Amino acid sequence: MSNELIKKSIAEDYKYGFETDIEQDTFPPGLDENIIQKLSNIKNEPEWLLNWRLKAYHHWLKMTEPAWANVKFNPIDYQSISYYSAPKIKSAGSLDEIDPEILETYTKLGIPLDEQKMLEGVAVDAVFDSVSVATTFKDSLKKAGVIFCSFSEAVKEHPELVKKYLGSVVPSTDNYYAALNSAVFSDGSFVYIPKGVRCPMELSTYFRINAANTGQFERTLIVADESSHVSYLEGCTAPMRDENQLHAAVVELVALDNAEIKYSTVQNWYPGDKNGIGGIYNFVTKRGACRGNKSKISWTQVETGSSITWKYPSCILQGDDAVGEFYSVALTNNFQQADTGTKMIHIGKNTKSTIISKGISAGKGQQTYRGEVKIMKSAENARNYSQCDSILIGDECGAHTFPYIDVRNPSAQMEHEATTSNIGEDQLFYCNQRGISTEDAVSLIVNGFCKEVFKELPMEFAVEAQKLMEVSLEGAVG
Amino acid sequence: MITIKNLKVSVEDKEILKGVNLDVKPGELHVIMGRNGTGKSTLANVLVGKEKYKVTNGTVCFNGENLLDMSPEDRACAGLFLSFQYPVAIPGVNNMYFLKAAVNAVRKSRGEEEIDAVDFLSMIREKLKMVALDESFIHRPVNDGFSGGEKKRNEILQMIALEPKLSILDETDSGLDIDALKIVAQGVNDFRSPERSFILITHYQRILNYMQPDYVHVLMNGKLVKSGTMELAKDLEEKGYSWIEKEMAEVG
Amino acid sequence: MSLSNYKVEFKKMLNRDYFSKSLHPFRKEAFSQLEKTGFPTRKWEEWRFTNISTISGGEYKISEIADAPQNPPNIDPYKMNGVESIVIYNGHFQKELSSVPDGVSLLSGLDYLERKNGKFDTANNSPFDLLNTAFADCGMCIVIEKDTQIELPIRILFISNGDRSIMVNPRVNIDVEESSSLTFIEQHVGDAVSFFQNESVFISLENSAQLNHIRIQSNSDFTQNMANINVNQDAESQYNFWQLVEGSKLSRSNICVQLNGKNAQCDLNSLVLSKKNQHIDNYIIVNHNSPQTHSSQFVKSILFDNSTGVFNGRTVVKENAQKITAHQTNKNLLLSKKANMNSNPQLEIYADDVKCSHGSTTGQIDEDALFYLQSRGINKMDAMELMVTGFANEVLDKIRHQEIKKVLHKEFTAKLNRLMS
Repeated sequence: MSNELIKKSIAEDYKYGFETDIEQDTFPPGLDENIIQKLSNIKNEPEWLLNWRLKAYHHWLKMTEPAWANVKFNPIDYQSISYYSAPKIKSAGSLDEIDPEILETYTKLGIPLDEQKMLEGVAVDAVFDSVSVATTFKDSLKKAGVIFCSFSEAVKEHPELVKKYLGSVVPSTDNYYAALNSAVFSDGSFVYIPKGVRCPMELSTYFRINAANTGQFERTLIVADESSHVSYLEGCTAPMRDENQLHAAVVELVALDNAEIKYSTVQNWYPGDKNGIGGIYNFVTKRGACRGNKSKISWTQVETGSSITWKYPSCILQGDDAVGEFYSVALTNNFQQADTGTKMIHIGKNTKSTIISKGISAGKGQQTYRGEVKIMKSAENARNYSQCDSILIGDECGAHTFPYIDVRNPSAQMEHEATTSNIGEDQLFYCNQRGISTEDAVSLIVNGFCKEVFKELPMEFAVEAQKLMEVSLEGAVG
Repeated sequence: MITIKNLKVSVEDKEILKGVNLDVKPGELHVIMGRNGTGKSTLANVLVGKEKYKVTNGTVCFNGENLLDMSPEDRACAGLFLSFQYPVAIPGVNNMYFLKAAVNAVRKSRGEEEIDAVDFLSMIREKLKMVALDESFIHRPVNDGFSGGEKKRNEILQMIALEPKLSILDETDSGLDIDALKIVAQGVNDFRSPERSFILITHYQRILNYMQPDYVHVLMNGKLVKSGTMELAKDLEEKGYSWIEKEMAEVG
Repeated sequence: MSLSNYKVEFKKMLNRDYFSKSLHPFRKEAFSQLEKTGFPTRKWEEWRFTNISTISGGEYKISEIADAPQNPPNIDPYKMNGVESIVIYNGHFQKELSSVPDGVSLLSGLDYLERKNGKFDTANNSPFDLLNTAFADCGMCIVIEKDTQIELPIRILFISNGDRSIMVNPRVNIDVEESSSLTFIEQHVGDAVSFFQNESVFISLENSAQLNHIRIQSNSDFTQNMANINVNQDAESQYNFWQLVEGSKLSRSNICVQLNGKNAQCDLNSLVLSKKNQHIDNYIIVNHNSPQTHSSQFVKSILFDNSTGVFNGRTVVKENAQKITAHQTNKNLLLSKKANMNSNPQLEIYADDVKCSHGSTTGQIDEDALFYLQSRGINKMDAMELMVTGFANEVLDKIRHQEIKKVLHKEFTAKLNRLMS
């Protein structure tokens, strides 16, 4: 594959880059105690939650941004961000009350909120900037005993559950961005699956940033009680803007005995233009605790968006026989940078983890896999298998692999493999000889490369993910 | 079908082909024989447009078009097919998906409609029978973990699915046991027609027991030095190549 | 971290009149830089897994004349056939025990400095290289002139003995000029009770030069050993490094190779055998600065008791350094419940036409294989020993000198025997 071919710039525009023109209530930029107080007031929060926020805020003030990630960006001015923005017309769950502009927005994004038009078997919580605007299929879920609602609603309706689990996996002081999120988080989704229940449909949250100069700080908490099962999907997009916007979310998962949580993400935040202007800073803390014996948490992510990604969905395998999985495809094109990976902390006996990470770098994209596998003394017979492969397309991108492996129990068996290479010229030529153009061949080979991960995605997402890869790669080769 | 005139080809500044002339008409099967390193695979690869092989002189006319000006995929779409000597593996890419992409690329170039998954599957089932492969075969990744024989049969399967005008078979017979060889030869024979031509590259005569070539050529020192019929192949099998060398020296 | 002890020692160092004063500016410059950076702490990313407070807070004194042996030491136990040896005892060169083959220029630090026009290599200015420059007190500069093949290996035998807390900073320069070759062995032995050795080795390989570098670290289990190995390679040169670490309480090898010319190739092998509360760290960086360069890292550790180990291998492929092959392999065998291993194989790649890979495995002896051997009538202990030996052989077999390979095989097996019985 000759470099001249590769250097052609990207042709396809980001197709979710439109802006919805609606009236919004937006806080003035800046962050102090008053802002947090105001935010908490708007949401009618109980005092304990306000105090929890303030504690996180004071801790955050003492922290510094992490510098170890392999990404470069201009410093973020946290006082120039607005920490709350919501559509003026309030909606409390009923679709009739939602601003038609917003309904239209979600329809354009391919996520119609009207239940008649919706994908069958997928319930959606739609988060628009700082608030949840709608949650669908609530009633049918209720029948099954499943709680699926916005975080704000959960604080009101299920305070005991929120209080019990909030911050129990990602403490409010965990890291810089998690502390910031804990102080200012505005909404998000809450899921509780009661004992023995298999959630009857896929649950999904669709995050949309719309307003300019705002940050999105949502929080997701999923609790799977004993012997329950849930599959959860997350999607995200944002308008095209010249300035960078911050998205600092926290996701906490708790799986009790025999429970299973499958969490899938297709992340397609605006990646910036082909010159690296604009795009979302996606600094996210995602962590799951396999508290119970034989519990299982599985993360699947397809990361094609954001100008910068800083994200390590992790599993703490506390229960005996707990299983943690991480399947990831990350693609960086143009000037995108991603530092992503996972942590698997083995504490319980016979705990097992699998890591499959596939990185694709094109254009001037820089990508780092950073992972940690820790096998504690107590983790008898722990097993880990990690495979981290990278493909490079073009000679101006980079791929880096930084696994940290820490084994403190000799009965552990841990295996890590990684490869980095370009797409084989003979593979491309073979496809060419069968009449397939170089661009199609690249997409074919890349999809093949990602197959092990795509097969972990729910059906509808897998198709979307494949298409997304094609669009994101377009122009990466001539 | 294809007319090659005075073709000279270099690889990394070393001249491999030193003036090859060949004319293949529709319906003909030509065999090119020769020892290792005489340039047989170079000829195959340069015809399908492999970048490493530099044409320094000569012309190749394929159905009225200048073949050497075309990209590899355009050559394929124009009806040129190479059964590779060493087919490459493409991990993770499903064989059927790959074949469908190739078939549709070729159909598109002919202005035909793309074939959908259902029609494609029923078409491919038919073709699988021709090369005695079962259906599970097409759900495996392209050539990944295939045995030598499976790879070669997969090449023939692709050939009959893509329906090329000219097929070049580069040592498709080597490394095959006798049963696989028969299957491959049968696949090719079933595919022969007055419109289709073949160039078969080999250094063994044994596959010719199952096929009827129109012409046999000997490639030596980068040139086709001798042409004949089936008889020539038989002579080569009996006497080897040295008598041709002698003959050439006498002429030379 | 205050450097108070080292400040006092540094003053003493400058007053030693048996060291040439012309080196003082370099020493002073290095020490003042060290004062700025300080010793590494675990907050430094590259020192995350190794705590060196016993060194930074230690009270090590520079080696005095009194630390030299009164009579020539007995080196019979370290006899190696077919090698030329240079002996250094507690930092003091033992002239009468040393011999140097023909064709080798053995220069003092001062001669070497003159030859290099006053340029003193201080590598990436890591704290321990700086410390070495400030305190360099022994060592050798070996220059192999163009087109010279040295058949007999040259060995430096470093002996550390005694019960005084001393520190020694050996400095070795090896220049192999165009199309020349050498086998260099450094062997670290002795039964010192408290000892800190901070060794810096600077290797420069010109076009088509070849160096086999064998490093055997088998001092007592009470020493602190820093080995800072800096290699610069020109086109077509070959560097084969082989190391065994089984001595010392705390050991860290900082190995940094720069591949600067086409077809430069390095092959880095390390075998670690640790026991009791030893901590052994291999920190390797290979920089592919030029296209068509090749590297391999192969590190195996066998950990007994509550010993801990670290492997940190970093392969960096610079922009435009195309057609690279680079492989890292790290395998670790934990033979005790209390042993601990950190493995961090890292790839950092800024070019696309590369074939890079790494693999890391950590575990205990494969139960199935063990059972298989037992079912063939081999008792469990023997079977285990067989398997551990097999695990080590893969590295031992990579020694590129037959005689030395034989000796090390034998010694290693004997040591393993003692540990396993």
